[in-house]
Amino acid sequence: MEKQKTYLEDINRDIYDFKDEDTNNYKTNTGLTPEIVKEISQKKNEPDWMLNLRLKSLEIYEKTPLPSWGPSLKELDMNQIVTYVKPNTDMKSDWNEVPSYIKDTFERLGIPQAERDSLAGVGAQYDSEVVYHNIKESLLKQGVVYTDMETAVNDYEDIVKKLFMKLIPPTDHKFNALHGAVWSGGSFVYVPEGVRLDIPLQSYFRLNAPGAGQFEHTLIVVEKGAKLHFIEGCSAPKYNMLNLHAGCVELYIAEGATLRYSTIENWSKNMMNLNSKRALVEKNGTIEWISGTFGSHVTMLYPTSILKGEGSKSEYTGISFASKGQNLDTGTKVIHAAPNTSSTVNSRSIAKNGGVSVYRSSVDIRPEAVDSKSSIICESLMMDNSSRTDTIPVMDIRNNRVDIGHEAKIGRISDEAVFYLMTRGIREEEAKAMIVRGFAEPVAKELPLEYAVEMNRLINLELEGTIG
Amino acid sequence: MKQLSQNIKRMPVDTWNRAGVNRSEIKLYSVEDAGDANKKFTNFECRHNLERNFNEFNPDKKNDDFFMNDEVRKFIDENKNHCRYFRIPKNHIENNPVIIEFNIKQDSYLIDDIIIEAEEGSSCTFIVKYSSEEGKNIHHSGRIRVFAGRNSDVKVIRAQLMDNQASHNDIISGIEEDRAHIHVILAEIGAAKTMSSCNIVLNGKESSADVDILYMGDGTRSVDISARVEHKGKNSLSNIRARGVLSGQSRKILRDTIDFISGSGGSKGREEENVLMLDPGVMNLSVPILLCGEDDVEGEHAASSGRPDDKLMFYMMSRGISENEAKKILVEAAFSAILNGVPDISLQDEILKVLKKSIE
Repeated sequence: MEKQKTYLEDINRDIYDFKDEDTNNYKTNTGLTPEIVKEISQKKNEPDWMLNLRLKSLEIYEKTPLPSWGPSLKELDMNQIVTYVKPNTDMKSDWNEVPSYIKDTFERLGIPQAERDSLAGVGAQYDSEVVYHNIKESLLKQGVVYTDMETAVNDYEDIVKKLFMKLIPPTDHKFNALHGAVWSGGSFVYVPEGVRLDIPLQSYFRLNAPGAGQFEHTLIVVEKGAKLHFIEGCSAPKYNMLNLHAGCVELYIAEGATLRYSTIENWSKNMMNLNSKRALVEKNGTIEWISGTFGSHVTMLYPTSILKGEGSKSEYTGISFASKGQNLDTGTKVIHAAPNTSSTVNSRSIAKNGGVSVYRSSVDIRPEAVDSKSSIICESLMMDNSSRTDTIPVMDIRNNRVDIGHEAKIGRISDEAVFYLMTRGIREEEAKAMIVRGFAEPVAKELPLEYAVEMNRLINLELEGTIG
Repeated sequence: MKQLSQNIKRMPVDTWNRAGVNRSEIKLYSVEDAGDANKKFTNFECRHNLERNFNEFNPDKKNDDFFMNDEVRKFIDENKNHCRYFRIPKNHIENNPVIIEFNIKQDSYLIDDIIIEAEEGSSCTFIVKYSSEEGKNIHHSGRIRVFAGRNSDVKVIRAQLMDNQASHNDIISGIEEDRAHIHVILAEIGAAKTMSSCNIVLNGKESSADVDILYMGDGTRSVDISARVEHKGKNSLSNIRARGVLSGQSRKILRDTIDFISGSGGSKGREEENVLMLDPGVMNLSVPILLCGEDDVEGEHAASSGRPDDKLMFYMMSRGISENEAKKILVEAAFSAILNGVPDISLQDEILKVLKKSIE
């Protein structure tokens, strides 16, 4: 008898898949030339050092080959991508001053409501520029800075010049070089020593223009003993041409500080999402990555933690859901570069309907990282035979005073688990639903509430037979 | 002397180049006049009569493209100086292991090519042991191919105990028909530089493979191992187990892969590695890969690395056992699960002796 299967529905993308008319104020030509790079810099009235960084990055971009591993990027033709699209407004700090069509977009995405209900500050980017930025007065008084990256380049030039693209240099890979050349928008956050934010800040990135790229830069400095939860959301409507996202996130976490960086990525399925994120963690500092990857055509995203200070920690919790036409190559990298550092990785992935889901990771234990610990758990669910799910971890251990554990599982839910629950009086359908929810729960519980609700909607089962 | 130096692909799918695991450099050696070298390269002993003339092997069954670099395959084909073909007849159960021992005595090289063909319902164990004269510059390259017919059971113990100045690289490959079973025990205990591979394809339904790997790194030894089982047949089973001990400045890379090809429904595979790291200067790279194109499967991986457990060491030392002796006991315990599968007690002892010596 043929085995029956449980099906997961696709994520409902209707709430993201609406388009505004492309009424930009200005956009560059397609492609990438020194003239376009100079044009972007000029529009932003940047200091010379930034223009030089852009031009140098462009040179590196041209010399650097595409990655020789991972998903194919051959579909991407930079000559067809518009790298800079300026919306028809400047940055505002009052939603009523934002043009109504842009405001409506963010209303539909629930951003102003979330700001009123549960956030300490919000930034909203529309195509290449930030259109709204605001932060609670009480935080301003404590010296917290939360602004767009362009403002930071001028108003906090000393900090930005010292840190911008130092953690992720343009030489890192081809799309970091591209980012260095054409970056635009993004957020700058500075949390002074000892300031602990109890409620999160959120930046939302919306790409509306067809065939465009979004290259926002996020730079966060959390000073000694401070604490921050930063949420990043992103989405775009679906077009019949490729869009490109090559953002860059640099996080500096000082001694004893904690940063939780949550990302819910819901790009449309015509998006190439080639993003880079890296955190430098000083003594006894903590970085917590929460990463949900649901959208995009191709994603290559591996948040990296450099545990530079003694006793520093990294925690990565991630989930990805790949369906038809999606190749989601995600995971994390951790570099233990000091004694008594620790890292945990908890990854879940689901592949269905021809989707490809890859967990890729690297844990490096340097010789000086004595008495360090790392624990990695990754689990993958395959929903049908037209999909793929691969697990490709690397562990590079260079001292013996370590404790390293790694576990991975691929497959379906066991009949025994279903049977066990049924013997305790739970109906078969409910038992299966419980197990699938349990599969995603370690990640869902770490998400902000509204995203956790969305995750639970995701696990909308048509219950028939077992998973597998 | 002829030499082939190639940077060959070592992963089924690549990852970050900076991780340093995608490719490795392999060096193969031969001499211009292979015929002459053939006579003096080694002392060879084979105690069995299942052997056939090498030319009798049906070339249609050759799995020459079996995860082997083209240049390396060509070099071995052109320069091999020792060929053996064993055929176990249908339903023949051979209780005595076939023992093949290479003891390379002079400054020389060995390129061996061994074919094992197990016909339907047959069963046999092979012990292939490589050792070499102390302090000599000796190179070994080899290939062992196993064709396991329906319901056959083949065990291959490949023990490499060469001298610390030798270099060693080889590939073991297996193809299985329905309900066949191959068990490979790969012991990498010697040589300055080792590069070995074990690749098994479970073509038949309910076929199964056990790949047990023992490795030892001491001094500046370099050990580079790739093991891969590909599930094609339904309800097939695989189990890759590795136990290693590293000390001194030794370097080791182990890539183990289980690949569930679409159509291998009902299959299960497990990878497991435990590494004992005795000194701070070791380099230990592990790449446990699970590839999955089939939904009705179970794949698992578990790995642990670290120094000997402090509590265990304390327990033993508080009972008067010296630190070195305590380490030896732990290493022996770690290896015993695999070593017990070696039917030749003297070979077990020989492996243990080398291991213990490396801890002193």
